[in-house]
Amino acid sequence: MCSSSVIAIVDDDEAIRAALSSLLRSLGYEVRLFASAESFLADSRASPDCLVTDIQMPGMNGLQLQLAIRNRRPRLPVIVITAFPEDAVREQAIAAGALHFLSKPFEADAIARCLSEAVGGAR
Amino acid sequence: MAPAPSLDVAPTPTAADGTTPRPGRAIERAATLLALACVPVGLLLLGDGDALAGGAVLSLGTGVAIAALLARGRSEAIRDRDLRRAGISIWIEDWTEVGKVILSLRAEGRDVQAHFAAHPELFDQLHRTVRITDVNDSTLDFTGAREKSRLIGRLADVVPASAQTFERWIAAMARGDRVYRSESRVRRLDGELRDCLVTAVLPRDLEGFGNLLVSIIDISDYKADQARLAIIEREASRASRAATVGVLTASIAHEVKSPLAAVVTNAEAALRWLRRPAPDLVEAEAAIGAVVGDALRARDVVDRTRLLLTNAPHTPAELEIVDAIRSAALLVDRELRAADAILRVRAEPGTPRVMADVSRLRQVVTNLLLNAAQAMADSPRPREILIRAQADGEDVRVEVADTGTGIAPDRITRIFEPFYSTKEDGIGVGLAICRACVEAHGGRLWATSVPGAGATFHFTLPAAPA
Ligand SMILES: Nc1ncnc2c1ncn2[C@@H]1O[C@H](COP(=O)(O)OP(=O)(O)OP(=O)(O)O)[C@@H](O)[C@H]1O
Ligand SMILES: [Mg+2]
Repeated sequence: MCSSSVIAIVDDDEAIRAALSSLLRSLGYEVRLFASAESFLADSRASPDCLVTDIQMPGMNGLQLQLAIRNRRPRLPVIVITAFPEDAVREQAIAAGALHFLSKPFEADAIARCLSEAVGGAR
Repeated sequence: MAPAPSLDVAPTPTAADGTTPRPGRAIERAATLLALACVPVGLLLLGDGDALAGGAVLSLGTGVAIAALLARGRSEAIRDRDLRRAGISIWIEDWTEVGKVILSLRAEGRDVQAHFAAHPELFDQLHRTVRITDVNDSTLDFTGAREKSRLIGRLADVVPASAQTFERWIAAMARGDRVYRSESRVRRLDGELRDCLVTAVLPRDLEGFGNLLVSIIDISDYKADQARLAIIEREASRASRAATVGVLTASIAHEVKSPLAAVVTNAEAALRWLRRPAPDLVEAEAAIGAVVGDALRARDVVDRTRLLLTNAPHTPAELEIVDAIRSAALLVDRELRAADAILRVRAEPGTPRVMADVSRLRQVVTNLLLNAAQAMADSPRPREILIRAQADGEDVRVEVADTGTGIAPDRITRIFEPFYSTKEDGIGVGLAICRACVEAHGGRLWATSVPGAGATFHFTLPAAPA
């Protein structure tokens, strides 16, 4: 348990943040929560092992966030979650380098699988 | 003196009596007038070519006939035959007695319109003096009469319904109008009602009054086309409403999916906390508590957005606006108290009652008050909400003013969009519901604000008839 991976969660919806936090912690990850893309980018200490972000957010959206961090952390794995599962959005997210794309509501197993692929499992 | 067939023309012209009618001659002498009378009709046809294409009443042949008449101008050579065969119904009428009254009043320098207004009995008297002296063949087809004799005679007998429009004719003549034109419905002898355009060049002298030429064009098919067009337009606007509903449905799906996702995720998290080798009951309990909260939020979204879409019957009734507002405000009394907000409601003197649907008005008032209370949560006291009603033309305008955070100019229209919210736990449907409710009354809802000093929401409702 000493070196658990750190997952950053960016979602403007407080209920989703809280739920993901509980779930990922139950899976053994350490989590950092951000209510907006801007606040994530502004936090210089935020150096997670994986980023889980919503797409639809006021201000900078999830796709823009992906592009913004591509320069800084080109190898940071990104998992996108959204309640708008349109193909166009999925393609854009994947094109911007997202590792996985999940539609809300998603099953815990699905995100657990994505995360272990992204960071090689928690421990 | 002709026995009256029961032919009903809502508006029909007439001629005076006295002189013996000389049908053939009358038609001939009226030829010039016909040429003039047809000008507006001709223009109408040219101008509306497209619109008429589906069912023009005037055939191309008629157009040609009219053009020929126009080309020949005032020539005496226009023969009976042209008029007899013209595709529109032509009536020659003798309005000599009417002409005498109007011309003599005018000669005396009197106000003709005022005279008729002061002597309404004249309408009926004069109506009975007008005679139909001749009609063309088309008029037989048009009216369904077998012989011309059935249509010759006193206008009041042949076309009883002409009494209804006689005043309009007199008014046009009294004003000195050059042309009389009106749409009317004519009942044929077989009972069928036809929409018609009635046109006449109004006379200037007594001779003209004795030979008034009236043309009647059947525009029923054209009207039918118009009606079909109106139906298509209505369909189209319903389709665009359906598109709006589609957008709305997508937004609702999104709004519901978020709390649903939180429910699922929290529930799974709780299970995992419990299934650990050493179950973490504190975490599990927190996650289950969150499940309940998220589920309630999903229910809220569904309940409130349903208000946006339901077609509850709109049943406006006459209301005293201040009473209605006060009783609606009671529903949010608890929230107003919690926000330490003071509500004042007043109506300017002379504010009429309104025609409003109570349940919709309640939606408007409660949503605006909740927003106002929420906007003042961090304002210094006293936190006041002032509701003011006043007459505004045909409407009553209501203002709901608070002293809260106010609204930035770039958001002042967006706030009415469904699901636009700046609040942590806001759904963003309050104002969309308010607007739908106000617009159901034919009213408007808008906002003004001095950012930092407060916001004012304004809406109008129709005043009850006095
Ligand atoms: N009185 C007010 N003063 C300042 N801002 C307001 C006021 N009323 C509304 N707003 C702004 O308009 C937005 C939309 O309001 P609306 O009532 O539609 O949704 P909401 O209040 O956020 O959520 P809910 O669906 O619970 O009503 C609010 O989030 C707020 O930013
Ligand atoms: Mg609201």
